[in-house]
Amino acid sequence: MTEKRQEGADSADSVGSGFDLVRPTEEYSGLSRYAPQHQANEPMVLDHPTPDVSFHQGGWKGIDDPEAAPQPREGHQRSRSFPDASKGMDMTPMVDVTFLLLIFFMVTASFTLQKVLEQPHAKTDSIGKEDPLPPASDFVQVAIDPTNTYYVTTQDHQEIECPSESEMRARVKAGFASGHVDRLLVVAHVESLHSKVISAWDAGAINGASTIEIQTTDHSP
Amino acid sequence: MASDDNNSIQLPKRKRNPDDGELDITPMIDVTFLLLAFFVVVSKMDPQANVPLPLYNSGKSISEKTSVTLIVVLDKDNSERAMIYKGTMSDENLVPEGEEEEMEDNIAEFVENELFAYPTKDSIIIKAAGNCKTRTVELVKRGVGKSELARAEGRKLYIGIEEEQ
Repeated sequence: MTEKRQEGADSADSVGSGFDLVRPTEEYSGLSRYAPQHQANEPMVLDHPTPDVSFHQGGWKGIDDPEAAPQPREGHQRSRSFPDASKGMDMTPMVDVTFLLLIFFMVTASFTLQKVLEQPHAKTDSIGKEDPLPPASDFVQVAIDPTNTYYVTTQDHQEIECPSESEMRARVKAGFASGHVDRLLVVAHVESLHSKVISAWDAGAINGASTIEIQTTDHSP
Repeated sequence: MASDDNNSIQLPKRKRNPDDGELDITPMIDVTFLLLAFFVVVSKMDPQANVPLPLYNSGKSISEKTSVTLIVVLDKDNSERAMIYKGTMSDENLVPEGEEEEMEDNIAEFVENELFAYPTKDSIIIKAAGNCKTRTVELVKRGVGKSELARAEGRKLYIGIEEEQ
């Protein structure tokens, strides 16, 4: 380091005036390379007269500010995104796998709560024995045949075939809209599907039926 | 900066620029691992979850731990044959096929034993697949109805459903 400085000083002397560099002395050999040669506000002490050239007095650029970053070494470009070896390995794949696992367990989690629909206990006698129906003005009847077709009977005693579930729901809604009906009776054939019975039950619950009864029969409507 | 009395090299501190776009994601990873641990603990690989329950718009939720569960599904190889399981879906819990009366008695005995062994259970859930026949579901309901403990005060019968999205 000292040799380089001496070299530089020699070459500066050989070139001539204008560099205005201080010849290195022994007193600087123990200091850091970043140490300022002198205080910033103090003028430099020169051996020879200098031309009236304004230049930055003091240490190298940036070093006067104690908070400034160190200058990069000779030959290195200073860039904002040079890789930092101290950060270690890239965490991105680990985060990706963690999120995948999280999503997997969120989707597959089956909690111990079960959605249910309360129903009365079934009568222990055999199928086919039907209870006497309540007065016709009190209920809307939904019959389900073995082919899973709905038949809705409203207050006017007119049995209407409903090939689709949406039509059945619309008819039930219309039946309850009269305001005098609050009961739903579902008469399901034993060969009908369980899901159809639940859909009919659901139609009654949506329309505010206070009582919903299920009867099974082996007679087609 | 190095002092004249100190021979060790001290690098100047790097000032953190608040306008720098880097974001510390450590808290986010912590929360993610917490959520992951939670779902790993609470989830259970439950084959009963594969039962295609009928859809319903709204229903109440009850805990399966306080219920006696009966499962009705169709045989994969024979869609005409319904299989009734007492509790969990395993071969040893399968109700043997036979006369309806025998099957009802078998179900009644199971429900009676369960409610006797676990008095805190206050409900019976029938988880029947939507494609099961009404006949089968009614058979199971009659079997449950034959149990005196099931008909006791405070005990209710439920049909398992799936909430419509």
